[in-house]
Amino acid sequence: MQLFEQALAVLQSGVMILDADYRVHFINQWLNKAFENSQDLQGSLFFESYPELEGRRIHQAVEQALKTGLPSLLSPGLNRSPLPLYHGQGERRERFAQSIRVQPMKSEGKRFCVIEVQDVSSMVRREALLNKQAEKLNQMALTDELTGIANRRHFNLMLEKELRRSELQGTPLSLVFFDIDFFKQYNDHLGHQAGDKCLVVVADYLKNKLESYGYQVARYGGEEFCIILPGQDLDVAQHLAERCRTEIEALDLKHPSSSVAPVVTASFGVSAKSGQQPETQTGLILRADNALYRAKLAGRNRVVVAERQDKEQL
Amino acid sequence: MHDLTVLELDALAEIFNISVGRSASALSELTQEPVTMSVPVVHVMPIQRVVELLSPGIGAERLTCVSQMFNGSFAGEAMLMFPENSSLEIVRLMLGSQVPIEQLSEIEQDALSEIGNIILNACFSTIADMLQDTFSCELPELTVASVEDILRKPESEQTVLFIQIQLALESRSLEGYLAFIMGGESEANLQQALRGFLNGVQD
Repeated sequence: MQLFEQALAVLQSGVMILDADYRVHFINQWLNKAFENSQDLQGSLFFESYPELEGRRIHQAVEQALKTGLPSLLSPGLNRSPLPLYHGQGERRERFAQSIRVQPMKSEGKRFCVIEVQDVSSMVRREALLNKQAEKLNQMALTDELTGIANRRHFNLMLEKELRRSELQGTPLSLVFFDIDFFKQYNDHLGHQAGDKCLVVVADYLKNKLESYGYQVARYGGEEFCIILPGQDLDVAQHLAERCRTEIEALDLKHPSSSVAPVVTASFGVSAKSGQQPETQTGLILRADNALYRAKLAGRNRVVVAERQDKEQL
Repeated sequence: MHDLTVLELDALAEIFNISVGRSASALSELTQEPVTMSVPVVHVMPIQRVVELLSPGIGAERLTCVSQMFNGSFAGEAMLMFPENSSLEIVRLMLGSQVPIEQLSEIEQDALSEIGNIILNACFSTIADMLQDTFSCELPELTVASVEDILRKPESEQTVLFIQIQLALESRSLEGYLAFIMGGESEANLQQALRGFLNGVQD
């Protein structure tokens, strides 16, 4: 045996040469052994041995190499396992992911093509694992740890998306910000654990009551929450805020140190943009936040609407 | 070499429309998703002009480029380029992954090379068919870099056959570019081949 053939025989990847009639002119040991029924393919008509491959991408690539002289790359992302190749023994025997290169060659005036095969199953596995972890991290990075609803980062992304949609489709968009009244006193009086529990109860209420309507809820920070109302105008948002206010009060969480009510209440600020009016993310947030501030100044446990307040001042 | 005539440019546009049409159906088959591609315009311009066109100012985005060296009656380097963000979107739509990593993973890079390989090969085989020519070319190489780095070639006087392509998948429409950087006599040879093709059509 030639030295080159010996080298190809010990190679830990596959090499096969087909001639212009698709006959296997050469196949190395590694590749021959990996084929499902391990008969010696040397000298056989390749696509007669594997008729199911006819018309598939690998067949097209071979054809292109032999007829047009063009090389092809078959990546594991787009073709997981183009050839019926297996590794492992017994029960652990499985078809493996492959990376394949098909290149034209000419020798003594005759056309051939070289098929080079690599087992990339460990790379595919590693990447699947990384993807899964990235997805999990991403999920974690967007969720508020305590309450399980969206965090501020997620809120910013959602609002950005909804603003773009409002601009594109000419639909209105509203925003509600609210703060639990005298939350510092609540914590001081009943302890942080009770405070955390209160936040969780309010977040659960938001999640269960509002998300089914397509409204998006988030914890903005501390005791501040927000609701995005895609496609809704100021009136709907004001109405919703009013409903939230009474329903949070009706949760009946005792708040002994509040000076507005014996139970936990909240103050609300509402802002909106119409479909026509352009608005920045910061603008919409600042107006809702400003309305919330006014709601607190006006005595808490109430809803204040940004625009209306501004108009009254004018 | 004279500038290509309108008729010759139209013939080229037709050749490339057929090519990208073929690659679109190959990609649809691979991804099991509807993929459509079209070529709105074909230009022939100096390489410097391409750099200017694709660098829209400061902080310009990087390009993802799949290139193959080719040799035939005209020779040079063929490239498929997408803005980096579009290339991420394309490969993720095609592979159906959702992970918002800001860089192409190994598998995604290979997949993108294959997408480029399919499109470039379709161009070569269509050109070969129409112009009765044969090409030999090398396997694709993937680069992610600024347009200056991708197109910085020793002979900056070279002419580029520059083709804008529109790729539509899953209700997204993305723009990419094909560029054939032609060396030496290539341009004249291409023109000659086109004339032969057009005469053949008229006969």
